[in-house]
Amino acid sequence: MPAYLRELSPPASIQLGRAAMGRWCAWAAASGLCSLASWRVAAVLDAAEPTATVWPPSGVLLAALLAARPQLSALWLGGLLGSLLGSGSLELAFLGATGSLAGAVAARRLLGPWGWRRLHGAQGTMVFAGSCLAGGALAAALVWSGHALAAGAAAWRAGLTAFGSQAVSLLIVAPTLVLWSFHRRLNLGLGRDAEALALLGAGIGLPAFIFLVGPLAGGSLHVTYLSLPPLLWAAVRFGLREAATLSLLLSVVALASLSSHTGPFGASGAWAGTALMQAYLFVCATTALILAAAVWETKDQVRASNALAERLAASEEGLEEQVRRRTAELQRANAELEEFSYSVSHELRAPLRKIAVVSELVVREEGAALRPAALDRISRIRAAALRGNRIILDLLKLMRVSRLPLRRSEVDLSALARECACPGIELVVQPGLVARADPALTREIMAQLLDNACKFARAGAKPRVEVGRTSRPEGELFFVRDNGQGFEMDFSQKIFGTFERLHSSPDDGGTGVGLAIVQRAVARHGGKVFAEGKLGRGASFYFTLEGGAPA
Amino acid sequence: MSAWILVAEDDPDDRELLALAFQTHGLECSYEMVNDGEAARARLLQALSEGRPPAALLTDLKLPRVSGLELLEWMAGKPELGFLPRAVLTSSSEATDESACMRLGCRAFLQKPSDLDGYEGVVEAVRALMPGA
Repeated sequence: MPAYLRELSPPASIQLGRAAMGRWCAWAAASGLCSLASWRVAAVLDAAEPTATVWPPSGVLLAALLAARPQLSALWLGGLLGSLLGSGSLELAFLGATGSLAGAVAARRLLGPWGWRRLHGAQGTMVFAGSCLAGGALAAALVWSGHALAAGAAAWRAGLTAFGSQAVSLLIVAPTLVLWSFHRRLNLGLGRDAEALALLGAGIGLPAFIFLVGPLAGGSLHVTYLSLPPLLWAAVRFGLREAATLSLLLSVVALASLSSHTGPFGASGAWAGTALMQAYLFVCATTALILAAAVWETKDQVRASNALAERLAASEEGLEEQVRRRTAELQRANAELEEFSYSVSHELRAPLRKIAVVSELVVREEGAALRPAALDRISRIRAAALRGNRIILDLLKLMRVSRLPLRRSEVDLSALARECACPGIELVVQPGLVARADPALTREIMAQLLDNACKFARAGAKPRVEVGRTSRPEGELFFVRDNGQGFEMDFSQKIFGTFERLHSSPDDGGTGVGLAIVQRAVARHGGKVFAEGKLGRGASFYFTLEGGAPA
Repeated sequence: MSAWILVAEDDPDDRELLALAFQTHGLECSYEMVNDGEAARARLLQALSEGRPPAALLTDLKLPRVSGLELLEWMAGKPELGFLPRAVLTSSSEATDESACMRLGCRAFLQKPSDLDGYEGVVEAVRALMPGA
């Protein structure tokens, strides 16, 4: 047994529980009452051929199948008894009950993999309408083929109207019932209430005017489409449920016109009128449903994209807040770390200074009594302490370079360079080296670079240091050049690291921090610094102070 | 009654080195050392009440309880001490410390020396503080 039939057929426990039995009886009674009522209405509407207009049951049954899981046997047996009471003919009762149920089951089966809840979307609605058409056709083909054999020439008409009534019922009655049973709440405001009332008036009044009472009631087929505006109104302004409801109301009015032989369809005779009316209702209902679904879908997409945009904005705000918090945390941690290293540096200087001074004192006071070896060792202690003190001073300077705010003003690099001249070394300074830079940091850059250059130039025979500006592919660069021992280009980046030294001579007075200070000071300006050299041919340090180099 | 100077310094080594420097380089006046800013404040008030204020004040910045900077602030708010020349002797080389001290009326911002020659410079600077120098 296929899954869909298992789903539709009653569970095995049907005979067992009393509750299951009660439910079975309830569904049978409901189906029977529905069939009885529809046959009674059909008899009133069209006494000559009541079969043509018996269409509500299949729609009701489809709604029941979609919304609950009634037992098929209950629906069929109830429908058979109701139809028998209503029509008085066993054959008609059998055909009516079987046909209605077959149409509903076929439509339910066709909708099965799709899911009726997709009725909200335009595509889902088209599938729904297609399923109703196909379900109605299937039921009509199954049931009326037998009847057609007996009825002879009139069979094609019977088949046509049976197919139409099944399809119209499935399409109009089922969605209305299902949508109302699942979305009960009406979201009406004050203005909305009035609009809903006006729509209801138009939805009943206009069809009534066309089909029943107006001067056009006996008129041409064209005017029947005057009933479309209220349907479109419902579809656009309200929704699928309201559009389906209005379609149902339109159908009721059209049926009434058929029974009173008024209106465009009533004049065409029972069979032709019914067929025309069914085609008309099908077009109206499908148009309204698909339009409503498309409108709903668009609104839903707009709502979803608005919600997404809101969520996005909220998360963006959250992100910004997070960044702010993290930045504050980072800044605090940084400040604490700086404060700590600052105090440590200061605290470390005191003992080093004392070692240096006291060892000098010992030599001065007791020097005569000490052996030369002891004096030498004490002088080494002193030198080491002094060097430690100097390193700490340079490290403090390095921290200051990072810490102090950058304040740009006009800085005369030529004057700064001349201030940093080293005794015994020829200094050539290009005049007019001006930049917009931080005066204190620039002074530090110049002092460290010149100190560095002098240190290396001193080893040569004719020590010379040159400060100037040059134009290179990289742009306008300041440079400090010496004619000292130089270095290998492989190390040109390494020398800017803290405590990096190319020459391991601890007595040259260098601390290994000077060029790190230069690099940091240049980086604070947004500039760059690099070195070029050749072993034995001197070294050049180039730097920019971004935006500071004159054009 | 000879002139005297008040020195606020808590480190015993530094006190000894300073005393030695005063002695070696022949500071002409006597001096008195206190351990912290609070003691310095008390001593100054006492000296004022006795009518025998010091001729100059030399203070460290890092002192227990009341720091050198706080002491200088307190003194800046006392007009009766306006005459008193003051200087700082510290291991700090921070420009911010120096400018703060100068704003509070210091005449000199001296660094604790790391060699004996440096101490001679300190004694010279203290001598320069004295009235009539």
